[in-house]
Amino acid sequence: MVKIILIGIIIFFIIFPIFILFKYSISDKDSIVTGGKYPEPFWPFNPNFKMFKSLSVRKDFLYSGMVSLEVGLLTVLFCLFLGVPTAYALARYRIPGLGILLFFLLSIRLFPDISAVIPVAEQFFKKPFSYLPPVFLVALAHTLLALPYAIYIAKGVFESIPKDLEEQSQVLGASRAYTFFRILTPLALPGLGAAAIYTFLLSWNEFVFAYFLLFQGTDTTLPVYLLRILTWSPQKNFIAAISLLMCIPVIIFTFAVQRYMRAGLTAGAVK
Amino acid sequence: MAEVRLKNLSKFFGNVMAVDNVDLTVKDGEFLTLVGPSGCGKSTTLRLIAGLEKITEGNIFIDDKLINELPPHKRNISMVFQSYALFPHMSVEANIGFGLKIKKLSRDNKKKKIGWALKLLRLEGLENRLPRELSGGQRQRVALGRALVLEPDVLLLDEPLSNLDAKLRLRMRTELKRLHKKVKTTIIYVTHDQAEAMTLSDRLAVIKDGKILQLGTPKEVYEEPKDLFTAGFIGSPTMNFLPGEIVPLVKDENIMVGVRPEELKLSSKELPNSIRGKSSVTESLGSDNYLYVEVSDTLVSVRLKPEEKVGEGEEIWLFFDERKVHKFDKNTGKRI
Repeated sequence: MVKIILIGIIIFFIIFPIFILFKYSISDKDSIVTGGKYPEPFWPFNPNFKMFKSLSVRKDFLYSGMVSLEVGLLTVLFCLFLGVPTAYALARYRIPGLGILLFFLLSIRLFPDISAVIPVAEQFFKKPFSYLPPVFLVALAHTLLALPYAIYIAKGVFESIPKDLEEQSQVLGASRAYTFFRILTPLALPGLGAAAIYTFLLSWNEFVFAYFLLFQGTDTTLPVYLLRILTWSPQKNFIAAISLLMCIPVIIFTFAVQRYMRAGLTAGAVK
Repeated sequence: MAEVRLKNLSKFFGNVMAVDNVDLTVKDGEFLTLVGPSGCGKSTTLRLIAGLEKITEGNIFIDDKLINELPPHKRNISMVFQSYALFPHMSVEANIGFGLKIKKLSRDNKKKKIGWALKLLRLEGLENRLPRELSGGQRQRVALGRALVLEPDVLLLDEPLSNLDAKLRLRMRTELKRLHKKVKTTIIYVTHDQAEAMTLSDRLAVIKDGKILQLGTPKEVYEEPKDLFTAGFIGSPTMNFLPGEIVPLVKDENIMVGVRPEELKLSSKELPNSIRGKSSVTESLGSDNYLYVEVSDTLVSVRLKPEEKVGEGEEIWLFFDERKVHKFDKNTGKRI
């Protein structure tokens, strides 16, 4: 009985904020602008999707969405491209001082973003970085943030694949490269999928670096767009709609990658 | 089919010597077993032959070709691991065909060879199953099929039967023997189970601390062990060891006398040149019975004839044919 109540409370705390967000996003003006004359209703008087309709044609919102998507995907690409081989090397080879190396890798994230953003931005505004498009630079900054985690997750993934399989593959005539692509990668996909989701999420939500690297131009990611919008004191329903829409790509991405994350993939390989 | 020659082969892991100056020639088509206790260096030797470990010193030849610097996939060898290492995301058919695909065989040729392996190992009907849908014995046969289908010069087997239950292990032993007769590949087999070594091999090498103590046919190693360790390692139940001073006709405290349970005979009366002891428990294994006898402070096992029955705590006399006895120097452990 107590378990049910506890689960209920947890679900409530998760669902309720989303419910509030949703409620505001479909509210009509009278439901949110009360002027103190009457209490705010639990459910809007005239729920409608006007906000969503107007957002779907707002160029600046859609463009920000595109930018966020580009940055997110680029970040995932960089992190996997750099992180996967690194993780493999860390997992399979005996490297002196491995513990210290890992410590330094993770300690990057102990550094507060705010302190790091000014020096990073300063470097990125100089040549040769200044030749790169802003979207690229934000993705690069996000890679700095996400790479330690991506490496750590990927390392764990490779460590969970029995070394026997690689040796067996080589002994059957496969070169190291063939082994990597035909044996290791398919088995590592679930874990790498998790790393990809985490990286995408980090980039999608990231505000500080995106703001400082983009403020000189007109490009914005969605979190930065949200800030810009707030300076115009918009209505609650408008903001709620934007926030809700921001959640959707993440959910889609997660479901897309989840297809590759089937548990028990290495079952039966080794007794 | 090929001859494998190890010359002065040594392997160091840091300061630890795993393989100590090993000289060995495995004849073409021979089934040779490396047998010894855990950690004696037999698996390391196998891995050196496979190319999975780098040689510290010495040379390995396959058919007079020096292969020291060749990576595993360039040596024409196949290996089956103790864990089978089946590729979990691939079907039985794909697993067996893995090496064939790399060799870029035509589809028809591949199918023919895979079919041959499936038939040989009685895996027909299981082509599309995944490893996790197979029993232990089936997985092991897939691993064997995958190795055999490549028709390697040398087949290396690293304790392939260790993960099977006792009954299956016996069945697979005969299966392996049948396979070897049929395929005639040179096989180098590693095990810690001396029974496997005795039943499967044309010759076996007893290994301890990275060195070969004795190389010979099962008969040779069983009947004429060259040192104490080999004598005690080969044969089940193990050989009995009696200090020389209590053995009449020897009476030498520098000698350790070894005598197998089946070479001992019992008498309830004292006979000339017999040893006195007190009977203890009898172990019945169905077909054979073994009686344990307390002699000075050791327990000696004696194989009883089926009709013999001896109670516990009885005074008993042991005697044997002194020509059949094994004598070892107590200090060096070597046979005299």
